[in-house]
Amino acid sequence: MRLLRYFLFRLLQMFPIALFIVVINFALIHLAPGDVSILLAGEGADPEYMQSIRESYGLDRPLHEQLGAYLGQILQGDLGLSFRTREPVIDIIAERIPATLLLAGTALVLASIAGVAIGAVMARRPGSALDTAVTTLSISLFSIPVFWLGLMLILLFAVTLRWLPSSGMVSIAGPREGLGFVLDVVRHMILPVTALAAVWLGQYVRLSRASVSETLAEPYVTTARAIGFPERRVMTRFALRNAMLPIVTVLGLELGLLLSGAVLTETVFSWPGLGRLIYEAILSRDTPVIMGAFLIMSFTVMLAALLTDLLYAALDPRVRL
Amino acid sequence: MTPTAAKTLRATVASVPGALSLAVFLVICATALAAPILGLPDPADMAFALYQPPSAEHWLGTDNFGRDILSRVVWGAQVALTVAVGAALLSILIGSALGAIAGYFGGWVDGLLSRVFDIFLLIPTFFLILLIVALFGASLPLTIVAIALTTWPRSARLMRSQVLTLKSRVYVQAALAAGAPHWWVIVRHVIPNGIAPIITDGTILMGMAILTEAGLSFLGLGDQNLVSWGSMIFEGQRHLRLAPWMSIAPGVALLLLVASLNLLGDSINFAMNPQLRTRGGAPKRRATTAPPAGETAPAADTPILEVDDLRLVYHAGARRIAAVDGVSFTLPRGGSLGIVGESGCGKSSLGSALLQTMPNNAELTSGTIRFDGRAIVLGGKPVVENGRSRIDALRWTRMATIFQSAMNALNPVTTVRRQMMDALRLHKPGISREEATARIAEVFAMIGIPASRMNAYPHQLSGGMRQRAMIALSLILEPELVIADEPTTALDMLIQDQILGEIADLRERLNLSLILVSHDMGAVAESCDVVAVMYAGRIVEIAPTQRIFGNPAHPYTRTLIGALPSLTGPLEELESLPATDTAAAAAATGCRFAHACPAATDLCRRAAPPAVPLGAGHVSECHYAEDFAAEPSSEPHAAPAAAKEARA
Amino acid sequence: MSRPILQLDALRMVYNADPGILARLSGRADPPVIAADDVSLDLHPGQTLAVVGESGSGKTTAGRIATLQERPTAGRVLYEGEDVTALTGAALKAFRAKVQMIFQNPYDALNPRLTVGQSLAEPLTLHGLVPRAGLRAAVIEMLEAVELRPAESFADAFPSELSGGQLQRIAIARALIIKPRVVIADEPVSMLDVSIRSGVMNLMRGIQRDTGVTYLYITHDLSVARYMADRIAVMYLGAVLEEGPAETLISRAAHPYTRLLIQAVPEHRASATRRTRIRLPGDAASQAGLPSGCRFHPRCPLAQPICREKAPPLAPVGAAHRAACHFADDVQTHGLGAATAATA
Ligand SMILES: Nc1ncnc2c1ncn2[C@@H]1O[C@H](COP(=O)(O)OP(=O)(O)O)[C@@H](O)[C@H]1O
Ligand code: SF4
Ligand code: SF4
Ligand SMILES: [Mg+2]
Repeated sequence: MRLLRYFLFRLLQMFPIALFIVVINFALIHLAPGDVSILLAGEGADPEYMQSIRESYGLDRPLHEQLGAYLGQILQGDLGLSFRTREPVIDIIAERIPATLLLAGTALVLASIAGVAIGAVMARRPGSALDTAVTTLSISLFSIPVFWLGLMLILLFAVTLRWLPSSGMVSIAGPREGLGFVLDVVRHMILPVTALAAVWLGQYVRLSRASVSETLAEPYVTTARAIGFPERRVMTRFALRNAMLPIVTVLGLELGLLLSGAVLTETVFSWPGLGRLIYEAILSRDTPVIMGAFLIMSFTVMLAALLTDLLYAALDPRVRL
Repeated sequence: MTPTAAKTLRATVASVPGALSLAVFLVICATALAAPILGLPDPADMAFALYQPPSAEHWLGTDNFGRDILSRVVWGAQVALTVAVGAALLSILIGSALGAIAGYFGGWVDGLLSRVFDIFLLIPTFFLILLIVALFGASLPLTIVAIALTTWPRSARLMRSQVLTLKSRVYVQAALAAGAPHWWVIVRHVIPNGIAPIITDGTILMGMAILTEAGLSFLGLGDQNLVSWGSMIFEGQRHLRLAPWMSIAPGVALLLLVASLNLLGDSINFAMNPQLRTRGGAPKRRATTAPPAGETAPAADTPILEVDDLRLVYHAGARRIAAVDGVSFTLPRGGSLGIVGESGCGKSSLGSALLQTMPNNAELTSGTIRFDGRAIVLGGKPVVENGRSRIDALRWTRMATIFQSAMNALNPVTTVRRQMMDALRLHKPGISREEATARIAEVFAMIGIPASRMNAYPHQLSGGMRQRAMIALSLILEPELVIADEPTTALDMLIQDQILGEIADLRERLNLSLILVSHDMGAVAESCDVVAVMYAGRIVEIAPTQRIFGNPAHPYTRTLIGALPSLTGPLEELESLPATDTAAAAAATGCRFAHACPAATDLCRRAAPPAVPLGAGHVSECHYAEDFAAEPSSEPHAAPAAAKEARA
Repeated sequence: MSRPILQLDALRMVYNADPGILARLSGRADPPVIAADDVSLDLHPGQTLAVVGESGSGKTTAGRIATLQERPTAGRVLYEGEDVTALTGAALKAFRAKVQMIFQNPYDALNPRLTVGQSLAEPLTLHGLVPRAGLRAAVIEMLEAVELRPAESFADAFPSELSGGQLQRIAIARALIIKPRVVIADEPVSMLDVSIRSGVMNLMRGIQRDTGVTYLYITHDLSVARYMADRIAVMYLGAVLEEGPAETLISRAAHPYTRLLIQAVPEHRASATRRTRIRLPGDAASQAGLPSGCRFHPRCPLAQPICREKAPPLAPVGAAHRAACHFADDVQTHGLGAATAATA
């Protein structure tokens, strides 16, 4: 009951944020150099379409009415048409989301699980040579530009060794169903997932190392040891459980940024996901698609933040609901 | 430079990652600045053969237009550093100003601004930058502004939290109370003390900015007129098969610069908070020893605890702190010992040594601890029998502890009842749920916790109740010995008194042996048969309670007693010690109290005093112990009516 | 009795009185906290008034209002008979030069980036009391006055190099360097070691003897209050329960709470014998959700039905001695005797 009330309250708080994001979007279109109608319809669009755009966005009316019209469009789920393909933007985006989720989701799961585990092990021997080395290594990992790491992986495993495919999600002449298809996709996933996961891994190692070592220094851990709990249980029951709280928060935010986190990786590997779509849209200056993708991504982040809050509240009795 | 800044710098350089990253960063900066005078070919000059691999002439080869890659990498460093410094500065300037305003003035200003900071957390920032650059056209200044536009809330949040803590700092309050205007307080007290983490975070911001710019350039959204590492990789990608060196060199440069910045930030952070690097951890493996030969079975009069020449040393960097420095005492079964001394004298360290729960930087260098006649520590090493440490067999079932701050000593995310249940089940695996619940209820009732509070989380209890819960937890397995480390510090007077009474009652009822640690002579006076006074790691005097108050034979004990104002006696001027530093004490060659002792002589400064036995278990470590013992402390005086009645 | 130099008149302080719409909507509004409820106290020149109470009793709030670091929700602060409650700007600064404050935590009292000398000179500069050239001499003189010798080397030290006792002496010096008439000291020794405490208390008493400064001394320890003060006020949950001359208040306490406090002081003389404690019915005390009637009744061993219904007024029980208990006269003559017998 209290959790529900909390949820509703948090939901309520999201509205101004959502509005803010829409306004940013709106402001950007209007501040950008060039005619708004051309931005929205695309250069060289036929005059008829241009006119319909003008009308639906109310481009002849005062600015605040335009904002109203824009809001109205979005509330109806209408993000306009791509001027490359003339398909509704929302459909184009929806079509690309699964590929991105597959890639980024896999990377995130791998990176967070491995990262938390490695960080936790390092936290048991803080300040040791191994700890310092792993810390340095993980900092270096997330200092690598992900697109460059992708290139280097391609150079080594696709170009030189020829072990793995360098781009796309499926082989052109490969199977389209069954186990063969799955294996084909997996083969294509290995390199991009590795690139993305490597960079995220660094972050989770750092986070988990910091969080676990902080909990291990808490007096209640000393109490647990004085009571006689074996070290393994101290680690799982006390240290990890409590250290997960800050990690959950970051994970939640990361989850929200999942869709946009892979733009560069998808570009390098020509992965047919949302990121690649955005890249293509930028190259062809397909403004409606770019804007639409931005909105969708922002709303995903908000949703993830909301869920994280709830999860946190459920995990930590100290959170005041 | 203030001592803190100099110390931080020294500590940063002292660590390998710190020194390394600073060196790499400085070399890159120097190279970028020196680019025009290095005698390199013009980075845009298409003067050479295309696609040359690295050679003596072109160390990093040439690209698809025949340009020298080394020269392009060097000039690219200028762009990277411009972006880094520009974006970080802008972000810090905007962010700290708004963050400081939000934190300092609070109220609705803070409410509004914090909302805005939070919103930025929910925006996919890389994408927003993409959007801006895509819409407005690519140029370096715009890129810098766009990056700063998305990173300033990070600086703002940091500054806000800094200011919030600083605002409650006493010296800020004091300056305001002294009549200082707000701008003065901000400029003189808040900013100088709050800026360090923000500058540290600046290195991280710089790294983020460089990666973002490189990402943009890689997507073809870089400034076309400049040599950027990102755009070099962008071009290199298309010639990956033919000329891999085109993309390798700029990528390595990026990695080096960003990693050095991130590592530098991390090292400075560690240098400012050294405990971040070493705190926590699992208990380290220590050398153990076998049980001594010829141990006899405990008899009825075997003391519950015997401690002999215990020494505990902390290693803090290069320093050795002898926190417990040769402590010996014996506690008979059912007896109670009060250990009194001021903070830092080693009371808690002694307690942790008895329980073997010392932190990893602590080491027992000597000493024997016997529990019920059986050695658990011998020569500073834990005794292991049949592969199991003897202390492990005693934990909580025979020897338990009450920690000082129950708020932190109880697990915050588990109910009090659950924590007791876990302890019970750990040591009595066969116990049924009903039995366990009954036992928990029994202990709760005994200690005065209402049954309705059983399922509360620690934070839901009042301070007194929480401390009671801690006591209940310590008693759940009916231990024979309880070590209570300042169990009532930080509680209110009435509750302190109630809990001390509770502990004294339980001791009698359960025939517990008790070690009660306190900084307050008064707190132990009523609860303990014997009082030991600790000073700088040693027990300087130990005696039965009546005797130590009546005939204190050590000048330090005498001051401790004479320094307490009385509620009942006449108002006499209190004794006091000069405000010197006790740190000097441990280093002293002679008596460790000589630096503050009102009776110190040359002999005291030259030679450490022996332990002088004064009979009836009274021992004092002072050259003049006998003289002091002969002269009783001031007699208690007639008490006013109210106090008399209280004692009736 | 002389005219009071500083008066707190019927102060009322409510925190979180208006939690705002958002907080209320979410049901997360902090409950309003009554930190001071009709608190009236008089400070007489050259004397010390001790305010005694446990944490959350509102003693610090009273101190913060007396220095105008915080403005009361209702009630007045009078300095030499004049209402200063709403002072701002130059007048406020002038008031601050007269009414200074010493804080609890000495380890945090000085800006770590300034030398002791710089910190001590700050109030002088702020109030333009001493020309630039004379600052150093004034600082040295003050350091001597708080018995930190050699003063020269203390003036150049950074706070991190000093011990708690030394730091608190410097904090006292900073409060006194502009020669205020009133000093509010909020638990100035509670964070110091016992053997150092008495030195700081003696120093404060010596300075009062020499300069005639007035103290409002806040403490949780009744025996410290007795040592320092001429008069004692006992606070509980935001209200003064008993007030009177120090010796009378302790020897003829008229409020059950004061009696319990006196009993709770562990006596530390050789004759200390075990006391019979009264097990108090409750122990949580918080200003949120103030009990009806007498605010002490949930914990009072003498509580009667009337105590739950009617709040006792702060009424005279002797010369300059007031207490807020329906049975003050009984308590003053018979103590808690009846209750002890009942529960023993
Ligand atoms: N983990 C630690 N590392 C280094 N020094 C420590 C540590 N814990 C305590 N010390 C030092 O050891 C001395 C004794 O501390 P402690 O046993 O906590 O004293 P007490 O309990 O009497 O206040 C102090 O100088 C303290 O600073
Ligand atoms: S030995 Fe000397 S310096 Fe030490 S306590 Fe005794 S009299 Fe003081
Ligand atoms: S009025 Fe009643 S409850 Fe209040 S203190 Fe007096 S006797 Fe106790
Ligand atoms: Mg301690």
